[in-house]
Amino acid sequence: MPEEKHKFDGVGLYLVIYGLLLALLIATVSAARVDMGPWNVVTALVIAVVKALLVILFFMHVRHSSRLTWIFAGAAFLWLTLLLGLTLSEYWFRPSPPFPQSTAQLESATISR
Amino acid sequence: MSELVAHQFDDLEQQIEADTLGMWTFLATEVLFFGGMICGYCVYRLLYFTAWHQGSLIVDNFRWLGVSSGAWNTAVLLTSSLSVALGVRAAKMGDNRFLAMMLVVTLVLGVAFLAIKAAEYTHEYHEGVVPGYSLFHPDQEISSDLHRAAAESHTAETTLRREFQLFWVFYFFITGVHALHMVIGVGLFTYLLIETRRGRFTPQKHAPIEIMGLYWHFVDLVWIFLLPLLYLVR
Repeated sequence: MPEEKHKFDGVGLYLVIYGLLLALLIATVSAARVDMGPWNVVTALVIAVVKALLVILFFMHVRHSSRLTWIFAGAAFLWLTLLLGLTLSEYWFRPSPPFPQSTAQLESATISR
Repeated sequence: MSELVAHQFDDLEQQIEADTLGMWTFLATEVLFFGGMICGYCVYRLLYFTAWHQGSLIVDNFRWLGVSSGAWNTAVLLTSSLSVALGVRAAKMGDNRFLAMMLVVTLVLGVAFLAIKAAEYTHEYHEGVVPGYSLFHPDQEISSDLHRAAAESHTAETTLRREFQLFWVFYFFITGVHALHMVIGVGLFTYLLIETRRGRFTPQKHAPIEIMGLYWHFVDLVWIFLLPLLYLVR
């Protein structure tokens, strides 16, 4: 039963994934201490997404799961992307007059930190 | 065999798949439940940048060895995810002694997370930002320097105070609901530990371990996103 055997991940693999997750945690905490302007948000979120993928694929065994499970898990994140993407694109990219923060103010706030 | 596989399933594999799929269906609703709160949090971060910045300073200021409690708690949860993954593996292999050990480790880490979170809430209470604080300390000011922040950002101080308050509404709602999930997780894993000690699980029959493991990993997953959003990003 090659398929049965294939469903057992070795302890070593889990330890490697755990090591990667801790390394990414250290990376994200360190990166937050460097002022990179708007790139701080991007870096922190990209690292979070990578960590999430490691947990989902390896710890939650999605990579061994059936196609149907992929669809269900994928649907959750598809809807999440729609929710966040559509909402935030509105607030991020369309600063209407009553919008309280101008870009200049945002920048001065970042620098004064 | 007939006892192992419920009569509506063709075989064991199909039954396991149905169990996993059911859990993922629930988790999909959870993704959107937390997603809604996080989306609101992000929108107001864009709108009320100064207030959110002041709030994050307080959240991230509770430190141990120079590292914020949020990062320590992430390490605690990632470690607990490892112990859960190793526990599920042991359940599949029929090693119930190791499974019980991993469940105990997970429980200890889960309680440690909640203890650190409680210490954080205590810190925030003393900063004067916990709801209800002003009822007991009517004369005390919140320690954040809102006056200066208001002047620097050219916002009226009363406006900034209202926005600052909204930050804490989001903070306590999101972390509170997450902590509630942790409390439920600790309850579920205590149940799993008792059942393991009773010898209820075999390599063929351990669906509860598998699907509650998925739940635990999910709660970890939410925290992975809360760390940058609440603590790191200014």
